[in-house]
Amino acid sequence: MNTERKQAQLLPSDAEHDGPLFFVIAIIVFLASLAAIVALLAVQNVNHWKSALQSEMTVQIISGDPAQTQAAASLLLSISGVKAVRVASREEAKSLLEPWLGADNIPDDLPIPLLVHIRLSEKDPASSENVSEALKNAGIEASIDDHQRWAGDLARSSGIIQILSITVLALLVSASIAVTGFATRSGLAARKDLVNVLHLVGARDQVIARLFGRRFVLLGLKAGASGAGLAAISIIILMLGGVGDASFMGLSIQPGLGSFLLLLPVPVITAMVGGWTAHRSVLNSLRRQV
Amino acid sequence: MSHIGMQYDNGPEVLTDINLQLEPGSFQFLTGPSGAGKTTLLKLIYLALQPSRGVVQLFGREPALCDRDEMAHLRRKIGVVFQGFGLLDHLSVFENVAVPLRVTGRQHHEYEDDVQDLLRWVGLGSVLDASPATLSGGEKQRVAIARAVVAKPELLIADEPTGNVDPEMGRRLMRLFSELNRLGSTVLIASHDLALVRSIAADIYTIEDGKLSFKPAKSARRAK
Repeated sequence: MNTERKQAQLLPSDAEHDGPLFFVIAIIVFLASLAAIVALLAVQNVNHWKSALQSEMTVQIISGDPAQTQAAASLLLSISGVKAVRVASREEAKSLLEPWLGADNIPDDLPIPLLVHIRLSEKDPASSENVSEALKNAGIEASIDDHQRWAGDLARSSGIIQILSITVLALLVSASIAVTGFATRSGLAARKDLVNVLHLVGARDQVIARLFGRRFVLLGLKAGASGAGLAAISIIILMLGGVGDASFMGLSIQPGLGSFLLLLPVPVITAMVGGWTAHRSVLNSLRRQV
Repeated sequence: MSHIGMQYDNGPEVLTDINLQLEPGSFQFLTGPSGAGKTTLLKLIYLALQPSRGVVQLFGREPALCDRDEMAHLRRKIGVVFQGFGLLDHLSVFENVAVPLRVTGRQHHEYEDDVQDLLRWVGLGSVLDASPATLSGGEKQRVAIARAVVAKPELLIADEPTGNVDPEMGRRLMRLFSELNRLGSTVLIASHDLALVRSIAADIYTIEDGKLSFKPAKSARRAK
């Protein structure tokens, strides 16, 4: 008895077709990984902005009188739900006008409203209505900005980026499925003789489909690992290049551990998508035969 | 097979009103000139084609009413020696013969001895690990026959099994088929070699212009 005899794969490897397919899937995975990371960063940014903006309020003292501003600050600190107040200096207020008027074009006698920054309590924060009413009762003319309009704009633009990223991701996954399906059908046609023999000796469709599915699981695993690896290298290059503080369309790009964690399951997902697509394609093709 | 008609796409009918019954354990020949429809008829029997009309019954089942898994189970009861052998060059001789067992989930250690014994019996014990591409026509034929019989099929179908071998090898292969028939398999052999057909006492079906005629074994022997 020859126990040394090794079992060959019923479905031989197809290096001629697998090579180009590997590159196509790896590139798709790379692009999909980047799209997923952008979507993740958008979510992180929105969450960060929401918590920051919901805990702050800015009160503008219209008169610009420092004494009235101090009185307003004391009053605001006494309101329930206010954690801390900080009066912005005239210089600080002037610096806010510099982008529009220039650094040296603001005359000293220009009446500039003074600002009071309020940090709200995390539990039961004061509402803009409470603050407005307290100031009105004290006879202080002020305008209150609770940042909601700005936060809304940012959340909307961030939402658009998320939707775009998810759309790109969905398109890339669809492209990956289409490419795998096409490659499977082409592989099936190239191996028609093998499939016919297996079919006629009594192989169930599931057995034949599993042969092709397994091949595309392995291919997906390799291509997925390569694409995700390439994406990880890109992130490292971004981080090493000091892009951590940069921003894109209002998003601060700070790829971190979360981005790498996001890439971890990518090879497995690619393998599963590849295997499932190939399996389905083979079953569909076989069902058209006798 | 009852009132079978067969046409490819919208072409002419290549088989017309075929009625055929294979008794279990019988040995039958199917003969006729090239292009008469022998291979098409065999394909209908080994479930590679579906008839355009008529009813096929196989092992008490009607394939047209079976689901795909049931069709696979029916096919496992049929061993086929294809006209072009249908060997897989990326597998060794041993692995080619083992394919019908492998696809049913049998493990290597379960069938290794049986496959080796069978290949020795057909005189291929020395080429177990060779690629079919390196074998002669006669050797390929024997590999194809070994693959067809390895799962002990209830029905063995061979399409021109001696077409690629010398007369001596042809006689040896026919003895092999007779032996398999003696062991219980129903055997149906398609051949246009009349000398070969007359060498064995068997029922003879003749197909000509898509129509089938029958000559029972007794008169076949008398003819011999």
